[in-house]
Amino acid sequence: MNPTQSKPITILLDNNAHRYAQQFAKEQSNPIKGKQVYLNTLTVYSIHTYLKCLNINSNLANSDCWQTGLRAMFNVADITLSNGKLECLWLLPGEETTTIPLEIREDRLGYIVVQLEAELKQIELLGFISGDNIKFDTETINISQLQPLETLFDVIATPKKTPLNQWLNNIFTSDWQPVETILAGRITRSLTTANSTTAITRGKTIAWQINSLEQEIILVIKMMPQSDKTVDLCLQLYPGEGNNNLHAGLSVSILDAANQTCMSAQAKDTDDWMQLEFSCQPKEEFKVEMNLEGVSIVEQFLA
Amino acid sequence: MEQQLSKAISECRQSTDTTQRQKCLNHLLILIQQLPGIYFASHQDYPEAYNRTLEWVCKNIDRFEPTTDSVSRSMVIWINGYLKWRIRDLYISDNSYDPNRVYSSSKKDNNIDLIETIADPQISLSLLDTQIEKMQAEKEENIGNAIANYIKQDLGNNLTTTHPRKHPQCNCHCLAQRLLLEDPPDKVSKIARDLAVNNQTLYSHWKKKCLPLLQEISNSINN
Repeated sequence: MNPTQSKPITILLDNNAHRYAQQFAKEQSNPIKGKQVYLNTLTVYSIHTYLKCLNINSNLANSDCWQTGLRAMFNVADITLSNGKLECLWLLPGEETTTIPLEIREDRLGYIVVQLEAELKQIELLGFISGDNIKFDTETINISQLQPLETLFDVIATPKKTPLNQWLNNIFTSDWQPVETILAGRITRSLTTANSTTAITRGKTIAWQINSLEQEIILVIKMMPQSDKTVDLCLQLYPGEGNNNLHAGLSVSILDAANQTCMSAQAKDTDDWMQLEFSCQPKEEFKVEMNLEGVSIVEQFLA
Repeated sequence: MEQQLSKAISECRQSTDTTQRQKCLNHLLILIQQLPGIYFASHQDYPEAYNRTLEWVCKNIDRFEPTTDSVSRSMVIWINGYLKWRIRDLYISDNSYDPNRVYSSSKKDNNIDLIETIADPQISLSLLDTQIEKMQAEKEENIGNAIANYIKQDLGNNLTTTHPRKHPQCNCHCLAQRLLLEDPPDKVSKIARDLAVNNQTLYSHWKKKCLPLLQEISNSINN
């Protein structure tokens, strides 16, 4: 397989794509803005079609470009996925560079670039560039910078950052359960002691598929906001339901935003829990990497 | 091609990891699109039938069995079997679109089936400007105008009064005009130079203050 040398995938622009594009372009204040919206809509609709082929759920109804007011206000061609937004950028025939509107720099998972053709009957998916490569002052993308389209799938698979700061406002995603629920009837360590009035504790099931067997553990995060705005965090691992001990060799590491390991621990035969304690600055990012028999699962957090 | 295709098919079937399967299917699509003999029809709904066929192939690749001694020939036969059936379906039920295929464009449009209200598109890139101009003229209420006017006039001074403390000139009114109404938009570096602020200050203000404010405005105009 050598995707860099292969021909780009073509998606035909069907009537639905053109109808949406007409409807949306009509609402705009002038032909220039109308054309921008028309081509944005064609591109977004066809990438939505492509993602559907690969069984990737994309939500147009939740995308800014599908909102009447937002597409009139901004130059947006976004597609909402479960862990963030993809932006779709197009090139006119003969163009090799596309401009990135200021409003869509920095907070996208990545950018798919397509080539339009004169008859507007099809688009070619030229490639992808990850959001990590686009800074606020990145004005353009040239096709020479594009990565093969398949790099998109690694970015899509990157887990969403859990915003711990939202926990302080009692906002939790459904995967993070109260400890009383997820560890019901189990003995927990130091989760209800000091600081319990301000501490917030939640747990999540982490599951591996190893040799066709599901192996589970429970990851618990206890967060304790401090008066200097830093946050003390206590991370604990417990065996999954039905197990008394953690799997021997299970390791856990805390990595900073630059992927440097800050601390780590490894379970021994008889361990029935593990714990790491550390502090974070507000908005600091970190990762928890859990490794079992060579298979890593990474959870990302925003303090 | 025979070898590449066989390899791609077996990789798709063997991949248990979601990301790996997506990569395999992506590669399979590239190969399939290079196969000679995929059925073509000039029906206006052929593109939709073709796209749906790609989706069907990806979903059903595990069920593909070669029926001849050539994998690529068998693949073309397999794909054409489905594609021809889809096209026949289109010719038979030419006007019976499924409204569920269409997403509503906004809360307001919930009950309107776009397919019923818009004529068939016959647009190419060279005709796009004039076509759009014509369409825009037909539409009496135009959200685009409402938004452009709001930005230009800023009647409540909402945009003008939102600026970094020490830089009143770097306000959302000025930035929105230069970044959203100009085509092409002015560059950050140029605006920053004109307003005597640094690029980062301008960008942070735009991102943190102006974008949320403008989003709010666009929602309020739309409702």
